[in-house]
Amino acid sequence: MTATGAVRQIEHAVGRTRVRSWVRYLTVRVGASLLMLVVLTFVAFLIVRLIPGDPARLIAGPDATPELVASIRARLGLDAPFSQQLTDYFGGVLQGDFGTSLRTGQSVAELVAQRLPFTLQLTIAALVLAVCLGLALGITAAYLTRDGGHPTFERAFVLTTGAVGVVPEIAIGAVLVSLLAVELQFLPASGSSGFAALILPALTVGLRPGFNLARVVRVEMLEILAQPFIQTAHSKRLTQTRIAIVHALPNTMTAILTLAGLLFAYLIGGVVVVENLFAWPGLGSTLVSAVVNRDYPVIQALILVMGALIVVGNLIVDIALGIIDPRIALQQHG
Amino acid sequence: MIAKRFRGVASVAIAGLVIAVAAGCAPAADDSGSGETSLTIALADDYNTLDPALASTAAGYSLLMSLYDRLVVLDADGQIAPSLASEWEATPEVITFTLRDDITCSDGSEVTATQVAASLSRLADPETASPHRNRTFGTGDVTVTGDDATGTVTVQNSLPFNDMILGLTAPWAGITCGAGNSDPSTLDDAPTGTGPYTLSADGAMQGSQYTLERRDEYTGNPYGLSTDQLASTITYRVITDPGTTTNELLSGGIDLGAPLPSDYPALEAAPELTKNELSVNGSIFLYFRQADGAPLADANVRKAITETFDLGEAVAVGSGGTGVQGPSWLAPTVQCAGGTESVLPTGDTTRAEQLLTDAGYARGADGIWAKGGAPLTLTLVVAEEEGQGAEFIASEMTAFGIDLVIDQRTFGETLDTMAATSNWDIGVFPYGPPIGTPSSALGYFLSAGATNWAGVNNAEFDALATQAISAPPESDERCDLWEQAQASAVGNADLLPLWTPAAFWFSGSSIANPSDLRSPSGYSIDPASIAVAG
Repeated sequence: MTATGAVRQIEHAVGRTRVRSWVRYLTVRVGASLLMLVVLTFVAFLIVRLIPGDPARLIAGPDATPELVASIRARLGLDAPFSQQLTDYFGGVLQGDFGTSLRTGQSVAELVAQRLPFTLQLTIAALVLAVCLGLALGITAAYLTRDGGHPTFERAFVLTTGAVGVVPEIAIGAVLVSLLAVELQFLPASGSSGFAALILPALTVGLRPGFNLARVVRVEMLEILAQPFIQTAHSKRLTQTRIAIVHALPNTMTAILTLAGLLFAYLIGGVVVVENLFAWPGLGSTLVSAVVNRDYPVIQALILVMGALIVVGNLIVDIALGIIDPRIALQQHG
Repeated sequence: MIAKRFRGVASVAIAGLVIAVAAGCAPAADDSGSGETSLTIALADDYNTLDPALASTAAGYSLLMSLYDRLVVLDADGQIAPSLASEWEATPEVITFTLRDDITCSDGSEVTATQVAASLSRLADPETASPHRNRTFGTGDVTVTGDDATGTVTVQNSLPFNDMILGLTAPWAGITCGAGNSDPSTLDDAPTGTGPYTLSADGAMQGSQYTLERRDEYTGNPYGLSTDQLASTITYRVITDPGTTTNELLSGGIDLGAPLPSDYPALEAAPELTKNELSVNGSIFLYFRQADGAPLADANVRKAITETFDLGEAVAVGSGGTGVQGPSWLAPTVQCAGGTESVLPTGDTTRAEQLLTDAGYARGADGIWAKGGAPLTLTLVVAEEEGQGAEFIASEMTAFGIDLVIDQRTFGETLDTMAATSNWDIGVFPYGPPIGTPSSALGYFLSAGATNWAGVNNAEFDALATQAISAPPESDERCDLWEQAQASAVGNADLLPLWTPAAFWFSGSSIANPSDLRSPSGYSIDPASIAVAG
């Protein structure tokens, strides 16, 4: 065997190992995600039955006779044995059939299809806002405060990001609405008509994680900026912007992407409160209304769909991390 | 050059954004000079269906009243007034309505007496399983017939039930017509009715917002408004957070909404807004479980605990200072409410002590009343909404020496606890019927009542209520009997009326007649009563 042939064989072997590692990495990640979805489906079914209150009585009203309550319960299938309800539910979910709303009779799948785009719109707008704000603030702060520079700015940055980072969304929303909708009447206080209506809810959901992300980005950037290759870039007289965007930022991407995955999960949870506050017709406001009305099929489906969004979001982040930094796939499964 | 181009693009983008934002913030009411007027109204909840027989939410009732007119309505004095029916004759068993001859259906079809009878027959049919069936007709068998030749509709009840005509003023008695009668399943998506508005498919999304368009051919507004005075478009927006309703009222995003009492001061300070009070039908009352073996099976014990606190103070605390003392399970504005002044407790703790002593109780060394060594331990179940008033009552009872446990729950759980368990002794009952009739809560107090969860057994009340519901509808005898029945129930401490809550709505300047808005229950407003400004 020639040296060239040996090198080729090694390259093929390394390639095969990488492919195998990737297959294993993806199999484990996708398998874990599917398992989580199954568990989530079961948990969603159990949770709604732990909510006290009889949906049939709520529908029938307090004056209803026991016979009427019983007939409504039978019509809704709530008098069937637990095991049968569970079997029917799992069977339906596997076929994409989430049943019909106990309250309105509307198909739950149709309801989810109607509301999901609104939640995605709000979540993605908030995520983009949080990431842009976090990166812009974090990078700027890192540049200004490296090597002990601008101590006053550093204190202000730490104080502001720390304070905003702990304020609940509901308070942020109240202040924004009070100022921009009620006082200045510049933006609508609620609703979903047009782009203007998206601004306040997106700010309400996105500001807090954006400020928290800024702190992380600053710390990461300070670490990167102290690396020798950045000194080399400086010695080549590259512009600060080029150094930041081309050399420093990519090295923070693993941490930022990991955090973005967590942020996405956090934002999906956050929209429940915020959608209600802004009468935004997404999954969150629908969930609140369904819980109030003990609308079992709707609650089950929404828990499942919102959980699935988080699971899929994390899966995408995992895959992206594996692509950006192949060592992750290799180290874990090589 | 690039910088200049960027600035140009940015300027255009910012200008576009400002225009888009400004467009999104246009005032709710609009009269662009074309004669088109619009109103935006907040709904605190969503509808469950637009089928009147099955709708069961306050939000649903607002929409029902937009789409379907009733045969009769209540006027400002709470008296029956004409709507689709121009006149009527009523006995406790039979009502004959004579229809107006200019009724139109939103799908263009003819509205005959047969059509009206079909609509009401469906409400009365037990197969429909309407939650409003007994509220409207009582428990008797009901036959509804229409005579197209004479334009009359006759409702025949097998049992005397003189509240029928009041029941027919309710939103769920709205008259459907055309395709909605032949196939009621179409009512949700394409309701066909006799009311002043139709549902527009544009921009409608259940749980978010609905647009209703005025029917220009509509005539016969029961409140004396001309069709031109009604808004040409009404947008109903589902806003479940009352704080958001306040913000929308203050920013001009909506024209009509019911906010939280805590926001009233801010809204009262806004010069463009008007505060309107609408009467509600129900009241909050204490309901005592008196099943065999229960501590409150003894009337003396029940009467004693009603004397342990100041009723006026409880009303003030419980209603946040906005409610009034109720006479019984009825709000003061409901027909025949009253007659209980002489039997209401006076907060006389000396009498309470005597009554408990008569019942065999004695105060122990720890200050707790006990009988045969067993302390007088009671569980008070209350919905979260009424928690403040309940805490006041509980603290007074505890101070008097009753071992009281508060069980605070959601509204639904409170109902479930009282309906299906014996884990309670006193219920703070939030009774809010969507229509005010004297018989509305009979089932809770009649010994054979279907919802007699407390095990009430008051023969005198049973006899009086049965006579009252059978008296001629317009007679003095009817209200005399109802007042005696209320006095019997309150005097026997089967219930203790607490407060009737107030329902306040705020309206913007685009509504011309804020003081004339009509509502069957305070929680939903009849859009046919709203005149738009300009």
